[in-house]
Amino acid sequence: MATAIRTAERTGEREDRLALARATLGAAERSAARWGGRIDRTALRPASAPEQQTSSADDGLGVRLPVPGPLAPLFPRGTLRAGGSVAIEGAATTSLLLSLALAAAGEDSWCAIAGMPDLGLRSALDAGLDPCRLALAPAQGEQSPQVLSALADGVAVLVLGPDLPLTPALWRSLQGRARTADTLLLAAAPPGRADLALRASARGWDGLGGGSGRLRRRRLAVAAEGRGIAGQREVEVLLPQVGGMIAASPRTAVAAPAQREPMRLLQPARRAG
Amino acid sequence: MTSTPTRTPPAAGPGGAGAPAARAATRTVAVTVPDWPLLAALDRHQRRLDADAPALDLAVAPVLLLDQHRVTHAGPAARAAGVLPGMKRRAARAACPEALVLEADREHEAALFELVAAAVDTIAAGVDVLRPGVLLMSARGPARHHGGEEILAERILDAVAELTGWDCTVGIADGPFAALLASAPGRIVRPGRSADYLAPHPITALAGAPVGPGWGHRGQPSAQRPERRLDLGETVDLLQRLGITTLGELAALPSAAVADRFGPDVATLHLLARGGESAPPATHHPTQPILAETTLETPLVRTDQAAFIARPLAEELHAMLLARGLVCTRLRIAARTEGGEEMERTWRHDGALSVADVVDRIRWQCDGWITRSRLGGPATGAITRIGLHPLQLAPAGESAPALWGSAGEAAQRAARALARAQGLAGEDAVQVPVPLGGRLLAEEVTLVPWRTEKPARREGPWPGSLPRPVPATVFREMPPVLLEDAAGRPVVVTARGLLSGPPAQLRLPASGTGALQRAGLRAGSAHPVLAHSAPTVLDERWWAPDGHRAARLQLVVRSASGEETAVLALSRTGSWMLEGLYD
Repeated sequence: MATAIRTAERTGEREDRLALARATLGAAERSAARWGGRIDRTALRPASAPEQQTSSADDGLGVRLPVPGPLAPLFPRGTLRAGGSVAIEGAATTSLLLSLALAAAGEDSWCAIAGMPDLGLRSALDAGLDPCRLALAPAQGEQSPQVLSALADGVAVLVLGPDLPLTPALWRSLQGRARTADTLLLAAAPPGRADLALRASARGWDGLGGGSGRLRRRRLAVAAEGRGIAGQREVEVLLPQVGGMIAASPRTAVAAPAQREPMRLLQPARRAG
Repeated sequence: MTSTPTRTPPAAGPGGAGAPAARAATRTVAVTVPDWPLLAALDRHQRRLDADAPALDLAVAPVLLLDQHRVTHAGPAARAAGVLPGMKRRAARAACPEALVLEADREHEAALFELVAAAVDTIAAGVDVLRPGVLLMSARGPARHHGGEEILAERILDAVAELTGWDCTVGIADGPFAALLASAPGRIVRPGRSADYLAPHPITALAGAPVGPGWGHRGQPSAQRPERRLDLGETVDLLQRLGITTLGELAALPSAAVADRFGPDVATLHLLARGGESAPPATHHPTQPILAETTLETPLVRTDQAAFIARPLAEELHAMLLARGLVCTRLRIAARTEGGEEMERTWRHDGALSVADVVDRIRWQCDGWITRSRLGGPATGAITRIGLHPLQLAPAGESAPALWGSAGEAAQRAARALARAQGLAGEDAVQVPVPLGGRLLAEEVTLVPWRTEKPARREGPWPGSLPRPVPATVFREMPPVLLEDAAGRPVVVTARGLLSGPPAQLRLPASGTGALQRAGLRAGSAHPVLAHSAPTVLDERWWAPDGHRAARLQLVVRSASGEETAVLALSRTGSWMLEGLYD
């Protein structure tokens, strides 16, 4: 009983100290930002912020990356494995790629988009991607395999556009590099298999009439199949909703099996590099 | 020479008003070489003569300096003979016929004074040349370094005499004006007593005030504001006519009244007369331009040769910058070919350039030149000389990376990968988005190569910019389309901003882009329009004759697969194009 109280006190003390440390770090970073440094948002966020995205948990089977909340029912354990690959097809490929990339990049990871010369940059910034951590590579020249490999080694999320000259061999080698470097590969119609395949179809647009109004939201049905999913899962989301980001459809028809609790193994060892 | 600090009796000026201004002024050292234009002209004259001609002794041989037929400076012997500054040439020749007459040359004076500045620079850093003949610098750091202001003054005198052979005088006081006036007798004014020291000087001492280039000097009107022709001499005349005869009386006037009556320029003089300063002395003065150049024994013809010569050159430049505590953010790489042709390019960098960055840029540039000549561009010979000129220099402390946040492991790993990608495929291999501001979607956010200086954001409300949600695919080259109504007639936006008829189908011409194919909009087919918005008119630069109008329309069409696809169409001069696709 006494030990329980002492543990509780110690945890309470630790939380206080953690909050104090975060506050000091945030203040120092704010003053550094005034002189040209950059704010690391992890220090400024309060210790327990209600997140709209699923948290990334390291449960001993590799680092998991968060996905947008409305798409969580599609993925096994509601997260994506860093080092895995996702192929996206059908309508709304670009918007889905951007929202997945945004969720996976998180607070301090870099994202590289290769081979999308016609990307709407404003929609990328509206979706929430941080321009300080975003790199775009045309990758159309003769060095494109080497450039893609170099990018796969360095950034946390690599998005491959549909117009890239990807050969099946290059795709396989990129998947291998991504697996070792813990990079998430998001590809639009790659020439080969991927860990997960998403297919989207538009159900309708809201907001426009016959000569008035403006486009407000689109209902999208996204189906997923692949590793870790038995059969096929489907979910309906709004992409984009009025603000430009992804949101859950109010009339969701989820045909997904019940979520399992992530398995808690023994002390997870953090992967080096 | 130095002397004990002055003990000036308190002047008529209010002591209290002087103290706050003096406290704000930095302790300044003024180094003056008296009669500098005369010395510079004498030096030039002696260079023109034989090298073994004996040096002129000013105390014996009379020397005059003329500027536009008036005497501006006269040596001591000439002054003894009766020549006064301000006399015309004939009068001076009449008074002293055997005097040596020299003409003033401003550029030569300025260039020669650089030697004196370099000599003082060996003692203390941060030398600011006010005008040829006068140097100012901050006294605190150098005085602390040398162990006292008197020692600093002695060292400056010795350095200038040793390195250049000329005699100078040094004065130290709070504020630049007091230091200037103190340098004539060579005094060190105690801290806080500048206003008292200045007060008894006559108002004509303002003629030598340390004011910036907006003022005319010595009868020469200022270049920047020719219509005002404000002149120190005229201002001194004006003040004398108003009855102000000493600096103390000027300082006694309330500053608000001076600013109201005379304007901001005379307010600056008023501040100086109180012992204050309008701006601290400029702290940076490189004595010689930094340049790294190499002449190649074997001319550069192949691209791989560039990699060999780039690294030693970049390291030499880096060592020079490091020795001066500077970093470079803009670099000009210039090359000279066998045929004598010069080519150059300026690289603008975001942040400091490291050795690896400079090596990369030299390599890219040489590659670019060699490839261009091989592809039949302007015929260039082989490159024989390469020079690196750092253009924009900044003190090294300003661009130090942040302690946390950007120095995180993820950022470093990404930076290494992006640098490698750039090294493989050139500068344009990796680009970052920069929000610019605009109406058309293609102009709102632009791409610049990574680690290049970012263009500034264009401010201003952009009426007509698209509200959210915006299309995820924006075409760089907008594909043309045809919009027709139910009867097959083309739909246009009238001058009143209305559609001429409700659009019924969207027809794509024969050549479609990949993105449109994937969205189900096949080339050559017609797609029924399910819904459309009211057109938004974009009126760009309506005040200029080159302004143009455009109209935007949102459309939902049924694609070949039966799904609803939304597009953004733009109309210019009656023809429609697709600006974006809601992918």
